[in-house]
Parts: sequence; C-alpha cells; structure tokens
Amino acid sequence: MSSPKANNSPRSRANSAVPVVEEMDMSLLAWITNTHTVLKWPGTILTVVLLLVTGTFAEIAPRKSLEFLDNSLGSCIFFIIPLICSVFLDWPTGLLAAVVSLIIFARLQKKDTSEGFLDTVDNTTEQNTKLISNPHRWFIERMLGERPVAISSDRIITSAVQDKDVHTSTSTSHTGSPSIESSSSSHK
Amino acid sequence: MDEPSGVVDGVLRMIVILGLLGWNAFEALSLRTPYPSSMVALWESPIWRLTLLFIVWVGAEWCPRVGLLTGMAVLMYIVNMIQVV
Repeated sequence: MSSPKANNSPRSRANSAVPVVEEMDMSLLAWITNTHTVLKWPGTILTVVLLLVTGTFAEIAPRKSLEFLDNSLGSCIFFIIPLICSVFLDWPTGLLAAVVSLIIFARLQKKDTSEGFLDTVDNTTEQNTKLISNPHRWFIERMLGERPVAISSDRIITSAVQDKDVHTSTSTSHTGSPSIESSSSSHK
Repeated sequence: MDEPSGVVDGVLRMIVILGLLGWNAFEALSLRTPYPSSMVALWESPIWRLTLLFIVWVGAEWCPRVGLLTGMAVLMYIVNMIQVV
C-alpha cells in the first residue's frame, strides 16, 4: 500500500499529465445507440418529408395502389408505423404518422370515382322518372353542389329522317355516278 | 418544449388551444356545419394539403396539446373532403 506522500513525487505528476484514452465500447448496444444518436435528426427530417408527401397525395392515389393495405396485415401497419416513429424518433413525428395513416385509411374506404350512370342497357322506350342509384355524380354536379335524387329523362330518343328523295338519289348514285360528279363540280 | 417558456408563450398557447377547441367543437366534429367555401376550394391544391400536415407537425413540436388538437382538426377536414369531393 503506497503512502499519500508518494503520489506527490515528480514521477507520478508526469504520469498524470498523459491524456487518458477511454476504451471504446464495441458492444452491439453501444453501436446501435451511437447510430441512433447520429441518424436521429436526418431520419426525422426524411420521415417527416415522406409522411407529408404521402399524406398530401394519398387522396389522389388510385385505390388499386393502396389495396395491399386493405387487409388485417395492412391495418396493423397503420398502428405499427406511428408506434415506430414515436419510439425511435419523437412523438410529433409519430402523431404525424398517425394522421397520415388515418388519411390513407379514409382513402381506402372510398371507391374510385367514375362519372355518369351505371353501364346498364335499358331497352324500354318509355321515359319515366328514375331514382338515381349510382352515388357517383357528374363533374358538373359536383362543381355546382347539386345532389339530384331523381332524373326525369336520361335519354334522348332520335330516329333517322327518312326522305324518299335522298333514298332515290343514293340509289341512283350507284348507277349514275356522272350526274353527282357534275353537280359537285358546279358547287366549286 | 412541454411547458411554456414564458408568459407570452403561455398566453399564445392558451389562445391557440381555445381556438382549436372551438373549431373542433363547432366545425370539425359538427356534421351540420359545412366548411367555408374557400377551404373547400383550396382542397384541390396540393400545397394547401401539404401545409396543413406540416402545421400538425410544427404544432406538435411546439406544444403537445396544440399538436393533438391541430391533428384532430386537420384529420376531420381531410377525411370530410375525401368523402365528399
């Protein structure tokens, strides 16, 4: 056991001047902690930008591209991603992820819009008032804020004009083509 | 940033929280109250939607209560617009 007096010797003072290099922690946990510390800020920024873009364009994304989320596993992702963002980044990013997840979920509940009536062929010639069963509205109805519940006539019935003279001239055109050519040239 | 850093910050937070509470109660969560026509018209703009989501994040960074209320208001607006338009 050394006495306290020995520490005050010149040799011990020279040893204390040498900078002490701490041994680097090479464990996996330290590596993960260091990586998390270094990447937290850029990771947060990248995640926020990604979430903002996703939430902005989720409304106009075709439903078919989001259908992989329309099952049990996809619904789990809606909970897992906000949780991951909250745990590994910060809770405001987790809140943003939750909002974006709910926006995508709401988008999944809405079918793709298609204008006009359903593709049904009605051979009846009667024009009766019909209830509109198709929820998709025409563009002009959406713009004007109209919500029609019934339509009095959804078709215009026309028939070709039957003129005997036209029919005769057509039939003669096959036989006597020189007369038509002469008339057309006179108009020019 | 959970607690106000000063009197001005606290007052501002209180004003924003009360405003968002009123908005959520009378506009966002009320089915009888339509959104202003300007907000409906702005829905088509991607910059408007991006700004709304950014406000959620900034509000949450500023104050947790503001972030939660902003998130609810923005979420109700966007979901309404998706379902209606």
